[in-house]
Amino acid sequence: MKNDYPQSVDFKINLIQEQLGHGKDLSIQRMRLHEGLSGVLIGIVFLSSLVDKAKVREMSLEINRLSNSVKSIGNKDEIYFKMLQNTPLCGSKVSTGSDNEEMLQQILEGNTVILFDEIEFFLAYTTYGPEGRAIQEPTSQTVIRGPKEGFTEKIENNISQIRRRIKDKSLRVEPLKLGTITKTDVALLYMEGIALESNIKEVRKRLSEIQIDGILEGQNIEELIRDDTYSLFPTIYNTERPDNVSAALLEGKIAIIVDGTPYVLTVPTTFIEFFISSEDYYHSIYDSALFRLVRLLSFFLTVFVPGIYIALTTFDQELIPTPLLLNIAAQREGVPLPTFWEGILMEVTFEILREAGTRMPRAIGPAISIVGALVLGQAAVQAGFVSAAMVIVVSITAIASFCIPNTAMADALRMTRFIVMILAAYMGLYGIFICMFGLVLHLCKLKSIGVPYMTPVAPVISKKNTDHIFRVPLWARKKYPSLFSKTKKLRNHMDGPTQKRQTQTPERK
Amino acid sequence: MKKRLLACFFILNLLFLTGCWDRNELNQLAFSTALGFDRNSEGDIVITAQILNPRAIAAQKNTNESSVVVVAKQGHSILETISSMSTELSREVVGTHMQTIVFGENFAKEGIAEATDFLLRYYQTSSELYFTVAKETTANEILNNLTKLENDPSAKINSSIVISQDIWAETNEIKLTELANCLASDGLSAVMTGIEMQAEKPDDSLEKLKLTQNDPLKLSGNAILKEDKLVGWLNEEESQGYNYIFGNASTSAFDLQEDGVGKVSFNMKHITSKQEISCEGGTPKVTVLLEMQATIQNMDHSLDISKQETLNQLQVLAEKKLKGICMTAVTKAKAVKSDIFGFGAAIHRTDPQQWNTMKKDWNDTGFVNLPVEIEADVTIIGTDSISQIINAKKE
Repeated sequence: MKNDYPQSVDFKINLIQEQLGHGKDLSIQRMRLHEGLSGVLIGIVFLSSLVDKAKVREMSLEINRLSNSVKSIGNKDEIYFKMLQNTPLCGSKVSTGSDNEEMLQQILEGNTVILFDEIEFFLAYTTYGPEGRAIQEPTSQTVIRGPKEGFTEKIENNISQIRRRIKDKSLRVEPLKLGTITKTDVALLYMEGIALESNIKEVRKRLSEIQIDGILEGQNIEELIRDDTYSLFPTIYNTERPDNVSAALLEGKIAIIVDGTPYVLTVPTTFIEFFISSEDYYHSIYDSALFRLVRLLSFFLTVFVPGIYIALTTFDQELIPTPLLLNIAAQREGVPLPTFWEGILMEVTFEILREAGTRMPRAIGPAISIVGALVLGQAAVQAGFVSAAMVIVVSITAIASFCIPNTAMADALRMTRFIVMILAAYMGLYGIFICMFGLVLHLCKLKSIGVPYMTPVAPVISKKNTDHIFRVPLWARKKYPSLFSKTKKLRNHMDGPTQKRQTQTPERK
Repeated sequence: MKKRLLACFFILNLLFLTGCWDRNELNQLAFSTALGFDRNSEGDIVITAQILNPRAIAAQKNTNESSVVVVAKQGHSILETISSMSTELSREVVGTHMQTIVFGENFAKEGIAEATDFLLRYYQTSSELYFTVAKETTANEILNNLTKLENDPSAKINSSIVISQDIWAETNEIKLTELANCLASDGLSAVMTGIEMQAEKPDDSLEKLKLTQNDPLKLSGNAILKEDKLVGWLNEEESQGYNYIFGNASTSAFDLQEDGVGKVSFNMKHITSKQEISCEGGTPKVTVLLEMQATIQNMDHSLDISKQETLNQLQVLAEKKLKGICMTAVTKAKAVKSDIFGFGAAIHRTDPQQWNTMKKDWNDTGFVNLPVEIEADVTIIGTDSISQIINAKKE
């Protein structure tokens, strides 16, 4: 038959159908053009689940209109192909190809492929436009003041949110495809001229070395490229907030956006960054200092309070003032478990409650809080299973752990807390100090894409340190952080806030 | 990897092998806050430990239990006696929160050096210990009481000592290191607050205690020690004199009853004391310079205190009275031959060579013969909120 030769439309369509397993969402339209081009057969193939349907419809209409306007000349197929190739239909990007595999890939990425009789090439139009979530407020990093926009699952959307904030020619968006099966779109963002070239190269190298079947979330990438694989602490920052990423880019950090997740990674990061909320920059410097001190205090509380309580009550009672000691001792009367196990019991209970709170269907949320607060808190104390002091200790650690703006860090600290508790139960305050030494040594050892984790505390970078626990006013923040950027440019050219040099006294009447 | 596992194994072993033996749950410990030392007729040590009952002290609801448990044991040595208390208690007695030490009068008369040595040496006791001597009674009697206002009797005794020294200048706060210094020094003897039973002990039962109005315990005067033995008592006036001279007092109240001025009360503030040693012909002489500021708190005669002359007159009278008070303390100390003011130590500081010749028998001869002069300087700085007497027309 005439239709069976390899360049015929029908042959190609059969091939596609076979390869894609006659999928339900595979949409194939054969179009025989009339008028001047009568006799030309084209095939339009796309996955209806991935394309923007309005766009495809408009495109076929446009093809029709176009073909109507053409009068017959020479080899119809050839000319028609050339014409379409040079006409952006509905403003989509056009690409050509001849490889069958490539054609399938184009279809799977949501592009519309146009096939021609007699011509081995195909045309692919980008019509990718699946339904997605609208931009919503971030759920994990909320602010009182500041933008309420969060990233969504669509990478274009996310890039657009950053583009909207940084309208500069030096913003680079490098596209990547990771995952041999998922072929996930990944974008590497940085500011050319600000970001340190060596950092960019390092990240690019690490990303290019990823060979894995699938990337579904930023964490997948984080796990594959992070330094110190087995550390509890996150060495790559993640955020849901576009303003956060924009600020990171301006400092010379590098962002990695992954399609399909609202969490964007930024590297390199430092320990203190996990205690900084983007909101700090939207409040006065004093407010932000207070917030950060509170968060660092929470860090200390959440890691050490249960351990210190155990150490003091079971080893070093002399360090507790007598009235407080009596108070605690009175509560301990009749509690059947040793303090350590009491603490572990309550901490594990809290972890279960927390986990239940995250996993359970939203509708039964209130039920859990009632059970948690009433049954486990009050009833356990009244029944004498645990002392009220221990409930207070566990509550303060739990609340403190929620003060930490980044969940990855909060999770790491919660696990550290258990280590501290175990050592405190074995060795008292001595154990806690061992833990502190261990923690400090470990944190100082960590690196994030080659940058020491504890900078600017260790190694000390005192002079250029304008944004740590305390941040300086914006006009005083002149230099770029030397670890992320080597540029000589200044961030501002101001000696102070712009003020009126002479204040005008209003005339008295 | 193997090496790492091995290292982990050893580190874990370290965890299991150390520390834990010291672990004690709070409800396995009996916290003793007051310890009493007595000597019975056979010469054995009787130790009374007052142990707090947390259930009764800190409980939210009322209990019928007593807030303290008192255990008394006798034995040859201190640690032995304390350890043997375990036969009477279900918990280990720990002294980490020890606050008050009461010496029975008999015990103090025979010497407190052994007890002080123990308290200094023992790892559980801190140096924040307050010392008292039971006046005309035993430590056991004193510690067998419940007190008003405070659930913990030792807290009552301690805060009473501190507050009374501060605003009344009668009691004397002496802590372990200070006591040890006094015992070790040749030229300074220790003075400890005395504590006595207010009246007949109300009754053993808690209910009866609730009915009585007085606290059974009362601080009274100061015990004078010579070396480590009790040799005499300072009464209230002498105690004040002692505190003025020694510089313990910072504020106090003070009355004047003289012809012409009537009764005038002063509130003394910023009391400072300075000892000056002068040597004339080899015999040292001590001058105590007292300086203080006073405000008039009370008058019953219509004095014109807006005039400086009146104030001067009052100042001179107050100084005279103050000198008298101080001299009673000096006389008492000389009578019992114990240098409680540290004059010897002051001589030691100013003239060590001379001190070497005198330090032998200092208390018995040197101190007794030491001329002491008190110079008081009272400045009346104000009359507080009102100036003239309110019923002046009566005069």
